Amino acid sequence: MSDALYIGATGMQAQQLNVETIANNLANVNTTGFKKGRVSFSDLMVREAARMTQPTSDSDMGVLTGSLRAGAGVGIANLSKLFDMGDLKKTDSTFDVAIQGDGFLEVTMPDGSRAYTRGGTLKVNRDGQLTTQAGYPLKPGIAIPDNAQSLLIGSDGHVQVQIAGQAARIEAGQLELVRFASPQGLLAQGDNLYRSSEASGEAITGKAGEDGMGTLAQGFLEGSNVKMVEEMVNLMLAQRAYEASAKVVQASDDMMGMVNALRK
Amino acid sequence: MEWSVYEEEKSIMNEILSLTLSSMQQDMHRLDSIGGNLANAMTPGYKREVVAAPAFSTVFDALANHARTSSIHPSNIDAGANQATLQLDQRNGMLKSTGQSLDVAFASGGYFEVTTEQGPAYTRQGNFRVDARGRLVTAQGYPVMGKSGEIYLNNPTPVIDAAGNVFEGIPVGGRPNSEPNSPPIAQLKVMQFDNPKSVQRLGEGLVTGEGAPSQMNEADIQIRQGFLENSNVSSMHEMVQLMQTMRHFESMQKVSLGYDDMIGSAIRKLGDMS
Repeated sequence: MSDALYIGATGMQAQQLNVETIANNLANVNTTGFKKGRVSFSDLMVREAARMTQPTSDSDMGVLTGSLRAGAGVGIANLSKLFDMGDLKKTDSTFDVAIQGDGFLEVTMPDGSRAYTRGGTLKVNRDGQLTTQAGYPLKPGIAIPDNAQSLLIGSDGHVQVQIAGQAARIEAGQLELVRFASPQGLLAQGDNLYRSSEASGEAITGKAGEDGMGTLAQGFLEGSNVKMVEEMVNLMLAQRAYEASAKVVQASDDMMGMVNALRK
Repeated sequence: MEWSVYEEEKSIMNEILSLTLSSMQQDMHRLDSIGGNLANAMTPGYKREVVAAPAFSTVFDALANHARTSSIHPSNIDAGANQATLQLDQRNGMLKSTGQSLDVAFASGGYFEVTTEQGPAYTRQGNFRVDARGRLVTAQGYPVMGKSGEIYLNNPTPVIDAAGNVFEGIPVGGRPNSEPNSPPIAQLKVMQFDNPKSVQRLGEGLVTGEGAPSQMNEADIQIRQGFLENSNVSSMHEMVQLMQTMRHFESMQKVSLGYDDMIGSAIRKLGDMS
């Protein structure tokens, strides 16, 4: 009877998710390496197309079958992350690494699985391994000697260290980058980490600067790619769209009230 | 004889009530459409849905023809009012800049062709993505068709020109607007329907129409990369319609109530006379 009630509810639900996504984007406007989320809507249908083109025949007591039914409101097509580059901010800190262009650094999680990050502030753990800020070692592992004085990461991923008392820098390892057929399909894990999924495809390993990979930039951090104005405008639109759907729900409720009032 | 008088009285009584009933029913359908339009106010490529009720004279003529052959029956009136059709407002929505290289919109007419399990369908919703196999797919995951089949991309940042040619092989990190220097790897298939009025929604942004669509003349295609087509729903318009529908519904309800009162007092008066 009250399809409009449900249709209005789908609209409110969709816009609520939209507002939540925008709120998350805005909250992370200053988070290093954050990638904004985007909700894609699509219309929903319940009725098959074949019936739609056939008008109700006279013999059919069509009035109560709801032959006009069409849309069933709005649904979520997908919720994806947009991986366009954020601005690179110069920090001059030795341990800050950003990726200019396409690619991710691979890290090993405590349970042995892989995760991927867009860079950030690195550190050296107790075992002398180069890790992310949260302490997950990079893969391939790079050992930094105790007596190292400075660290140099080349744009192609070569890591060199300067050891006290030695004139020449020594090679400590080589960072590799990975990329995905469909980065939008990656699952965000928090901590600027992503995991691969069926939708993203397998990681493709390569060298920085080759085959479409980006290059590494030491002394830079990647800002979030959230654009304040864009999000604010979207927030306003989402709120108003929510309101409009709420009005439909209200109107539909009023209508049902009137129907019930038919019998005094 | 007495029997037939009774029959006539009953049918007139039902007629007024069934008229108000069918117009209230229609108002409810109208509300469904308004609700659907408002819920999809932010769905890219969505086309406004309009309930077009047939003109009263058309219904009346049909009924009059019918009456010549058989007696008027209330269900005929209902069926007549219920033959309202749904049409899509095919005007283009505004183009919204998103800057994403896989967002494409039409500044002209036309539809992208996608493949579903039930066969080809058509869409104007251009927020595409690349799936795990590197195929160009819609947001819902249906493969987008090029002129020579599915489109496979090596990187998710191709350049798409106004005629739907997809270029790859620009230097990485290069300006996305830089002139592509290699031949296109594919061309998007752009279709059009000969009878735009027959276009019906299938859900998930997809539409279909009567008859096989034809490929659009390349000179008429205007695809814009980095843009999405907004829905063409105007919330002001829908709100006004919502108000109108509600008031119409209310007045029909009042008519029913008034008629019910009238019948009630008639029954009481007639009862007194005995």
